Amino acid sequence: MSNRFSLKSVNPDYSTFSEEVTVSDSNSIIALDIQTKFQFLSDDGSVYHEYQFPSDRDIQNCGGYVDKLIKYRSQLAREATANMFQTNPISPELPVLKGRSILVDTLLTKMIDRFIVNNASTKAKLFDHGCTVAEHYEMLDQMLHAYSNRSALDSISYYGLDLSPLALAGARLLHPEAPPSDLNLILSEGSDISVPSNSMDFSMSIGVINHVANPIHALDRLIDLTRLAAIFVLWITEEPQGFWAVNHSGFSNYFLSVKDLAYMAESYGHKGSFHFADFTPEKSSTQPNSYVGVAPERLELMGSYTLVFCTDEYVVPGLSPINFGNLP
Amino acid sequence: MKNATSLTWSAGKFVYPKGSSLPIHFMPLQDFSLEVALNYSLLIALRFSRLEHHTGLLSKLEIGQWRYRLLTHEVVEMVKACDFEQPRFHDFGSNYALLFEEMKLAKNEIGNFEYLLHLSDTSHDHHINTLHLIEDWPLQLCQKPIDPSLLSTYSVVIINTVLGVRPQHDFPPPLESFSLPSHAQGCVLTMRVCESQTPIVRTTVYGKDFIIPTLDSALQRMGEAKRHWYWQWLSKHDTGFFIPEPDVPDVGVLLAYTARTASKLPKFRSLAYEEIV
Repeated sequence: MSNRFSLKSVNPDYSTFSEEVTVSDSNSIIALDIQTKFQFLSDDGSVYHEYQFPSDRDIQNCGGYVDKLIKYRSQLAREATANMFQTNPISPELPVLKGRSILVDTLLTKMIDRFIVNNASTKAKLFDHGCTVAEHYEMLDQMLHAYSNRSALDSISYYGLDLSPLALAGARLLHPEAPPSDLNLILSEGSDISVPSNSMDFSMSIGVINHVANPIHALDRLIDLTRLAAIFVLWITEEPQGFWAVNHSGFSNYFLSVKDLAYMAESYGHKGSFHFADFTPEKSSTQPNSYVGVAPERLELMGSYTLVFCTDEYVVPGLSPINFGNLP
Repeated sequence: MKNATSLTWSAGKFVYPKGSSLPIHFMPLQDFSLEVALNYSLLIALRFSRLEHHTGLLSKLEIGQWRYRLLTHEVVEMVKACDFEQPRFHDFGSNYALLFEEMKLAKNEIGNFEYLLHLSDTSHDHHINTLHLIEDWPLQLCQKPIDPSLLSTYSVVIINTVLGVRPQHDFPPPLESFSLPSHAQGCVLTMRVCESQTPIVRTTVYGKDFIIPTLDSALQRMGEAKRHWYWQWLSKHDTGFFIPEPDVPDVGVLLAYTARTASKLPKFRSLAYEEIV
C-alpha cells in the first residue's frame, strides 16, 4: 500500500437522504444517474478525487459470473466439490462454494440423478432462467461427477435464457465442449418465456424473477413449463402486499408477498407443491444496500427464500413442505 | 508515515437523482464487479467478434470505453503498422492476455504468430489457462525473467505499463533493465510516463505507489536501441487513475513502435536514433 497517502476505506451512508426520496412507498419513478466509481474524500468531507468506470449491469453480470465460473474451475474448487457428496462431507471453505447457488445446484444434482435412474438414462431438460454465462452448467457437471459419476454432457439438455447478449456470448464461448443442441441459449426478457407448457423436466431461477418486467407472470410461466421440479430463489416480504423498489442499477425489483405465492400454490396444486430449502434475511445479505430508498424497517421484513415447487417424486433430502400460511 | 495525505475512500455504485450532485444511495462493489468484470467482458466481446464475425458486443459503449482506456486496440494498430514476419510476441504486463485476444482478432492483418506471456509469478496461470484454451490458440506462459540473448530474429517485445500498473495485472520490468537486441524484429511500447524533469512517484486509486519515468528518459532509452521509432504522447490519457497531487505533473501515456520496416500511423512522430545520439 501507499507510503504517500493514508487511505482508509469508509463506505458512505446516504440512508437519511434516501428515506426522503420514498421511492418504494409511492412506486414513483425518478430518473437516476448511477455512477460506478472510486471516491476519495478529504478530512473535511469534501470530494478530493473521483475515478469512474464505464460499467453497467450487463458488464457487472457477465464479467462477475465469468469470474465465478473460472473460480469453479480451479483445482481447489473441484476438489472441494468432489468432497461434498462423500459419506462424511467436508464443508467447503471457499467463498465461491458457499451460498444459495450451490444449494440450488446440490438439489438439482440429486433430482437429475433420480430422473436419469427413473428414465433409462434420458437427458434431463433443464431451463435456467437468467442463465448469464451458464455457470450452473459447470457446477452441475462437477457435482454430477462427484455424486453419481455422470457429466452434464451425458445428463442435461440445457436451455438458458438471459436478457444480455454479452452474457450469452460468454455462455457459448466458455462451454465449447457442449454441442449447441444441448446448450440452447435464448435471448429474451425474463417474463417473455415462450417455452411450451411441461416441456422442461427441471427449471431454476435464482434471484431473477424479482427483477423481470412481470414477476408474477414469470413465476407462473416457470411452474407451467416445468414437469417435475422448479427451484427458485425469491425475495419475499412479510408485508401483506408485494411492492416494487429500485435497485442499485436503477432497475425495478418486485418483492413478492406470501399472498402471491399462496396464489401460485393454489393454481398449481394439481401439479405439485412448494417446499422450503433455505432462508437468508436481507439484513445479512452478501450484497447490502442493494435497494434505493428502502427503509431499514422494511428491510427487516425482507429476505431471500430458496423454494422448490415439485411433484412428490422429486422431494429430495433437505426439503420440507411449506404452507404459505406460515413462512418461517 | 510522515506527511502522508489522509483520505477516506469508497468504491461502488453512487446513485444520484438525475441532475443532482447529492447522492441518495451507495452500494459497495467487490473487485469482481469492477475491473475484473470489465476485463472479462472485454475479452468475451473480442472473442465473440473473432469467432462469430459479429462486432456488436465490441461496439457496446462501455466495452469500447474500457478498451480505449486500456489501449489494447491501439497496441494492435501499432503492430499492424509494422511489417513483421511470423512474429514471436513477448508480452510483458497483461495477465488477462487481453492483448493476446486482440492479436487473435487481428490475425488476418498480422498473419501467423507465436505468443509468449511473461509473468512474474504463477498465481495467474489458472485463469489464463482457463480463458485461453490451447485448442483455440497456443499461448506460452513464461515465469522466468527474460534473457535478451534468447530473443530470436522473430521476436517482438511488447512492454505495457498501461496494463501493468492496474490491479490483477503484472508490472513489467522497467525499461532501464531491458536492452532490445538489434537482431530482434521490433518492439512496441505502451508506457505510463510523465513530462517532469525527473521520475516521480505516483499513487493509483488502488493505493499502490509506482515510480513513473519521464518521457525524456523513455525517448532516450528508445534512441539507445539504435532503431527508427514512431511515437505518440497521450498527455491526458486516463490521468485520473493516479490520485492527483498539487504541483505534480499528470501521468500520460507514451505509445511507440519500431520494426525493420514500419509505416507511420496518423498522429505519430518519427524518432531516428541519430536525433538522440
